[in-house]
Amino acid sequence: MKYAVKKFLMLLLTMVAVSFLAFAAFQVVAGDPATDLLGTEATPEKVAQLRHEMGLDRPFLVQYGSWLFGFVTGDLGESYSGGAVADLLAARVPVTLMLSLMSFALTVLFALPLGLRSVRYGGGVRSAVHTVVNQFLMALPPFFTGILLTWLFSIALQWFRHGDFPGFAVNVGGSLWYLLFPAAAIAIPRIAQTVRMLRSTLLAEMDKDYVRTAIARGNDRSGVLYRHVLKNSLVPVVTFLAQTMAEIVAGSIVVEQVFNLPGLGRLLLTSIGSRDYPTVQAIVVILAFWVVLANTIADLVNRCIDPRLGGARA
Amino acid sequence: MRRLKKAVRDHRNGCFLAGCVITGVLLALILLGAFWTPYDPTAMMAGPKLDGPSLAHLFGTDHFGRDIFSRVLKGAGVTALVAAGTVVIGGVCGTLIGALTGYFGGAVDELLMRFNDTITAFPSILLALVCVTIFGSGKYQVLLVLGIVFIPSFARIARTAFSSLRDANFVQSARLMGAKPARILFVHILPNTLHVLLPAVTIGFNNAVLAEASMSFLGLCGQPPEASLGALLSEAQGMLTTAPWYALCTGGMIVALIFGVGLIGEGLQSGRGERNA
Amino acid sequence: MKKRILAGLLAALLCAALSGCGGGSGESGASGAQNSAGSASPESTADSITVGIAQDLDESLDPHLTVSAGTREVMFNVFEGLVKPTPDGDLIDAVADHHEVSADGTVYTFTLREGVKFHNGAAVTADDVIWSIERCADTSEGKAPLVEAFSNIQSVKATDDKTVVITLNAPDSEFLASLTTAILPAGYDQQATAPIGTGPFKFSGRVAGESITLERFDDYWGKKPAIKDVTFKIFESGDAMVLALQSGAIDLCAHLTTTQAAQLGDGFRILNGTMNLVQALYLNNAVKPLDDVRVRQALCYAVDKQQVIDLATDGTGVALGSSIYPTFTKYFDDSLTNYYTQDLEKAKSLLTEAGYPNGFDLTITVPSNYQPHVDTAQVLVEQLKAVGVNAQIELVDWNTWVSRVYTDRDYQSTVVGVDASSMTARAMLERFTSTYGKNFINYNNADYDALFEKTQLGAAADDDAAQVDLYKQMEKNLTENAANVYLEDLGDLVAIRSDLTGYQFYPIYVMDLSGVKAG
Repeated sequence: MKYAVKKFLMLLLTMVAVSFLAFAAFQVVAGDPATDLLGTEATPEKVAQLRHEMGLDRPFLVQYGSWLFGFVTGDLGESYSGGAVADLLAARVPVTLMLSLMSFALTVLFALPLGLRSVRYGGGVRSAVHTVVNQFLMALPPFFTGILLTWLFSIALQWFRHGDFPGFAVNVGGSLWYLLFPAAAIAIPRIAQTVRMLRSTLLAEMDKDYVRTAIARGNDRSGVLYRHVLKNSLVPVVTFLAQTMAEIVAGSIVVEQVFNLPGLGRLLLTSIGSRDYPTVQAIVVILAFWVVLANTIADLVNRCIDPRLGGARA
Repeated sequence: MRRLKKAVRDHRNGCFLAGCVITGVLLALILLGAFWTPYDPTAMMAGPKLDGPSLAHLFGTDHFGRDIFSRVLKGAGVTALVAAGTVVIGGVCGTLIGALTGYFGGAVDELLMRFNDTITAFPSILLALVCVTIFGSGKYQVLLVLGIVFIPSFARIARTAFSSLRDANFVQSARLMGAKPARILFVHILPNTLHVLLPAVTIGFNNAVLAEASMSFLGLCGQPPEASLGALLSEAQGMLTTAPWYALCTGGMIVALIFGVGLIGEGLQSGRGERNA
Repeated sequence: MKKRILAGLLAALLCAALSGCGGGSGESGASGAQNSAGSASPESTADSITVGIAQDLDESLDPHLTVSAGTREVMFNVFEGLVKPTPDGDLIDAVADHHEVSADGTVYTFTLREGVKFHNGAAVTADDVIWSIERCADTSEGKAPLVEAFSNIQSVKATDDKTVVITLNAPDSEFLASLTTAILPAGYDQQATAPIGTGPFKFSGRVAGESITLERFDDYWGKKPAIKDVTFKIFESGDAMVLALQSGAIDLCAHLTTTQAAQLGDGFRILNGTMNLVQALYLNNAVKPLDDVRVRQALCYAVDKQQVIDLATDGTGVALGSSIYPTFTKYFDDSLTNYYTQDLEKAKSLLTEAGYPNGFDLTITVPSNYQPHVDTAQVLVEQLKAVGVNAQIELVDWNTWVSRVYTDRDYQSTVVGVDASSMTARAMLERFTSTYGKNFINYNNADYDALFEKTQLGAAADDDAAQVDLYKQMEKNLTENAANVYLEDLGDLVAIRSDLTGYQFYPIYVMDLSGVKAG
């Protein structure tokens, strides 16, 4: 419990640091939003007045404080393009969240069994083929796979209608079905990477004395694999899976573009294009939170698997 | 028969060889492309519009009748240049930082690694996108930004390697013989960390290729008519039904680039595997 | 208080192409629920259609404040003025039943049509008309009026419930065209978010960045549309839109490139029209070396218009030589189209004469993601190479384009399309008078200014033929001084599901869906 609290505090601290960086970075770039908003109608008096109204004449830390307070309470500020950032995000968060969760689920679902299977053949031709295929799959960029999947499943086979993402409010099943294709595009290289990682971890573990002894004593090889080796290799695997969450988020930013998905990645790019800093800032912090949260959960899971971890990785 | 078996068992070296061959061929093509391409990559009507692959145009032509093969060669050059630059910046700075903090340790080390942990938790693309918002887009900006973004991951790997060797016997004896820290770091320890650093370089290169291709796919890298592989692929996406070869050839080039270097990395890691075992 | 831009620029259309496509909650229902085993045949009936558009609309839907052509295009279905344009380029009475113009051309008397209702059910009264016109003529606080031509209005009065009299300071034969300005309910202040007009469709919903939905207005005074629901779905790129067309997710989509249109199969018909704009390499006439007329002429001689049209737009564009597009037949002067034909020797000698024997560096700033402009710029770069001009494309996003190029005029050259906000030559030509606020090319020609002044003076304003002649002289002035490298009116390819008919092209930039029907 103490460990969980500690982890949670670390999470908060990290998020404060991240949000501070994001805020500071955009404070520097954004120039003066008041001048921007007034455009050609800017006069020094008007700018000063607007700056006051927007609270831009307050000290930097005070501005950060009030932004952070707003953020925590759900007020993400006003988008330059009008409207509250929170409203803009509300509809898009579920899409990206679902997409990354599905990619993650696919990764785990395929990588674990495949990784375990791959350990069975320690060497030989199959192992060589395995390595090469694995490397090839790892080399597939999600946006390229996405294009190929579109071509195959939307145009040739017509399994889904590209560009017609129904939205969760309209049709949950249809939305999930649509998301399956971008999720697969993101997951394929991740699966390959996880299998590779799992395989080398397991093989290293299998080489250890206790395993050799157990097998030499006549224990069933796969029994040993599942009962001891897997359990003992799980910690680095869970950590690795949490790290793939970052990759998955990165993949979804690009893949949303390929599949015309109304998610955070699309909004991020639009906002970058239109220099809508409050929105960019909010998205960056949310995506970061998502990744950091995944890592924290991984730490907690690992602690459950191996209680010894308490001090070492805190 | 036995030799064959041994070779297969040693397939990681096979990987290394195959990777070297693929990467070598690609590199040769890219270098060739820097000086000579079959057609001027921006010349229009070099052939008929949207013509499929043929002997005259290996990868076919695009909607301006430009030779896609020439464009892919040039584009791969841009991508490889950015990726290599990224690895150089990230690798050199990262190794330096990692070496110093790993070797000396202390509070600075602790602080930097915390910071590192925070940064590496982010998707590099996200960081790069943010930086591009700040610095503007373009080939060299992206190179610089990706280089900086890649520093932490190299630093982390280097730090682990250096700190694990900090108290190794040969380091201690060097220290006793009065070697200066700089000499210890780079003459004694560095060569012994290469088995970790080199695979990291290959992985870093692949991540950089991927990141650059993603950024240019999103249109944040370079101006037309110059196009790196990602930008070409993005253009090709719009012609998927009329000119599928366009997408396949440009995408294939990205895959080949990553695949080749990935195999090299796989081969390099075999050494490490044996050592650990 | 956004930077306000003139509505005219086509690029507005697709330029915000990274524009977000938001939210999971489209209230469309237009294309029906999707069978998860997925047949991709278009499922929408003729009752509802989905139209792909490439950019979100303006933040405010208030028609009087509309800035982008893309918004005007869609909201054309929702709003009407006293008069409205027809596909032939004429003006017919809309909210007005009929109108009379006094002999001296200064008094316009409109009799309102019986039974015209707003979408909120209220009948249109003379008060609404006066309120709407006065709102657009307002010059208090030193503002420019929302409708430039309304600065000529002396008074707007209602003589009875159904009659409105507009008195002008001076006759203006183009005044009627400006009365396409939307009539809105007096005092209604929610136009930005819940617009109310009198058009054949009423606004029913919007998800920012994702979609706009319209619904048939059953109390419409004219012929009611055959279609009940229209969803405008926003697509971040033209390419994504094509994929959506192919998959059957949308039924109709305008402004495709030929490459895009070529990918559509039998399920669609492609209609050919023109976009009604002037695409050119617009030159900043105030910066070196473009301030030298010889340099500008050299650029004109260096360019092969026909090749641009063939390569960038697959031959669908129509060449032009000045700032009037061909469908504007009354003012279009075809003799200017080939005033400059590609002549590299001449271009080189002009450059030498101007002191640039080895050419110079030229930056072409192009709003990104509007593919025809980007493609055109790429062709131009190649052509300019031949005379030693080293052109570089600089892609910028739409907002940057507006602030840097259009507002601050901090650029060398740019490829965009300029269109007319109303069907008058003035809307195309006034923008290049030296004192005009949005003269983004910094054109400064005393003859040109004088010609424009003459068109607005009593004699010419009253005499149509004389005015047309003056406008033509203005066009010629632009061509002779090579104000810009004029290229083409882009072809407008509209893909429409094969079983739908009734789509009509207009000589201005709008998308009229009221006539579209099945079969």
